[in-house]
Amino acid sequence: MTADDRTTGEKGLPAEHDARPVRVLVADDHPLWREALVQDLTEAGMEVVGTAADGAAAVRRTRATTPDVLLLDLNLPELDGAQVCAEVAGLPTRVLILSASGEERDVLAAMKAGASGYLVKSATSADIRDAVRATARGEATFTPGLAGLVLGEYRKLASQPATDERPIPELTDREVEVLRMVAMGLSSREIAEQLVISHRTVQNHVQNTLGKLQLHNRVELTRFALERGLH
Amino acid sequence: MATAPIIARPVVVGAMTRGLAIFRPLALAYAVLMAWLERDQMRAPSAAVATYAVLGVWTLIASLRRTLDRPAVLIDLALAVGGIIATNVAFPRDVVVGGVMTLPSIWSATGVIGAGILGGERWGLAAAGLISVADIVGVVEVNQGTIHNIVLLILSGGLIGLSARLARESQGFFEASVRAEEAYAERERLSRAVHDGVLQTLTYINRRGRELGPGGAELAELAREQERSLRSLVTRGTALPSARTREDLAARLRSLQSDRVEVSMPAESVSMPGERCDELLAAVGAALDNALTHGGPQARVWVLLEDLGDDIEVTIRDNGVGMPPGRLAEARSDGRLGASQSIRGRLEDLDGSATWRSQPGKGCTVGLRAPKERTAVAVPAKSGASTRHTEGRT
Repeated sequence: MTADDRTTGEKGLPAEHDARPVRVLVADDHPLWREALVQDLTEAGMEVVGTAADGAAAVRRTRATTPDVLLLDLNLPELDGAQVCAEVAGLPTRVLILSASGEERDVLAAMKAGASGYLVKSATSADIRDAVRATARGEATFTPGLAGLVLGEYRKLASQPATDERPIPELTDREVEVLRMVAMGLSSREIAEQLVISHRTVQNHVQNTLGKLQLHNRVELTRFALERGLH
Repeated sequence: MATAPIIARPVVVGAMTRGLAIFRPLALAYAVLMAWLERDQMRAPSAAVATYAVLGVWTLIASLRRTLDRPAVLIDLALAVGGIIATNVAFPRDVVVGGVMTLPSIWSATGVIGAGILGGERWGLAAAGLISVADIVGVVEVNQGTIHNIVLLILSGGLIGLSARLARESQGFFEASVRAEEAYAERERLSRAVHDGVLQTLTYINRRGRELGPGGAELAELAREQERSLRSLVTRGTALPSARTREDLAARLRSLQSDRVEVSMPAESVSMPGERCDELLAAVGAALDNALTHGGPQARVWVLLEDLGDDIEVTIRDNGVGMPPGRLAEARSDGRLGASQSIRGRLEDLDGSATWRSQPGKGCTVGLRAPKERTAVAVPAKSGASTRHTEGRT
């Protein structure tokens, strides 16, 4: 998750050595913050394609500009983080959640709705820049807090009765191991070293845990919509 | 008077008012019928006709106005008294004394009921008293029928008044509590909004301060500390404190979050019996103190809470200096009990276990695992006391 990791994202989006700079849309309702973020990202050589001060504008502008990364404040007026994530889920744009108040439930909802990463606003400018680049590459940005939430979510799902029609996503032992290490503050590099696997493999494990949860969420939503529509 | 809170009319009072509007014409019809049956005894039927004409007009006006206010009640009462006096004009003296019904008959009750609805049992009783006096004065010699009527009037005036007053009072309480609840919710919302703004600003100062160089770094550190403590205050348990018997371990662990401590947990609350929660929290606290004091000044600590269904697991990891293998055993053989012993003792009391893992230079990881509920084999409640005094000696 550091700046020197140069891997091309699975969707074929630009890695840093590509000529095209990372395109970012910044959505935050605090003008002070928005400007600081735009300045930071621009100075770091990224292209800020636009800004938005509320959820509805964030969705509209993301659709209009399809940036590589939507840097999204969790608590926006009009549409909250999860709603914005759901609205832009069909686009190639990846969403990085930025939150000031550490509202776990809302973060989890946004992640399940399709966000690729989460960072608290107390992170340093460098952390934020690195996370935006990692997100553009297709990597998942996890904080220890988010890893704890995702672990908890899988455990909650596992405690529900499973039926053939409703398969419940499960983590492999290795995925649990990796998530627990992330939750305990180890960096991808430290995890790779301890488990004697590549950094890329660590990233894949982390992404898979999120991917399965998002898929489950989409299936559940579709099922819900169908049940509502048919009865 | 002008500042009195506007209280909506209770449903019961509304129903009473509508009932009175129906009662008025029915009572008049009954009175007219009764008088018609007694028409042969009248000495001046024109007085009766005039009385009923006036009552009829007012009844019509009252049903058109559809409101019950003070003038309406006063007119009701005045007409009833007038009607009772007119009885003496319409009938000869001996018939009146003999117990004939007054001209307004049960219509007299309208003013009493109206006074009760408007002013409570006091006004209801006062109006009943007024009509009773008119009755007594009218008939001169009080007979059994008069007493019967007076008792009924007093009962209806008092009871209707009482229920109207109680209905108004409870409506008042209800509205006050709804207002209090709304005010509380709004204050909650405002404080969250304000906190969010303050958090954002503090975070911003922290970020910018660090970029300003050494002078700004101090500022940044201050802002960072304040931001952390405010955040833990805002996100601290929202559950009501009433259920002391069970507590949310997640909410209590979250309050350990600080500048150097990061806490991760599931989104759902983790409910445990209060005393088990206390014991576990004390063990986590001891592990945390140990990590912060012995890990070195740069050490950071991560706490992970996992809900495994019947059991809970808390892992405390630091990135401090760690300890060489065998250090724990060494400490124990030296007779220095210390934090590890205290932690182990607490976990054993909870039918749980504590594990240590450490490598020099790589920090230390403490794993605590215990069942949420007390198991069937009861553990003496105070057995934890023996390990408690060892706390702090490391």
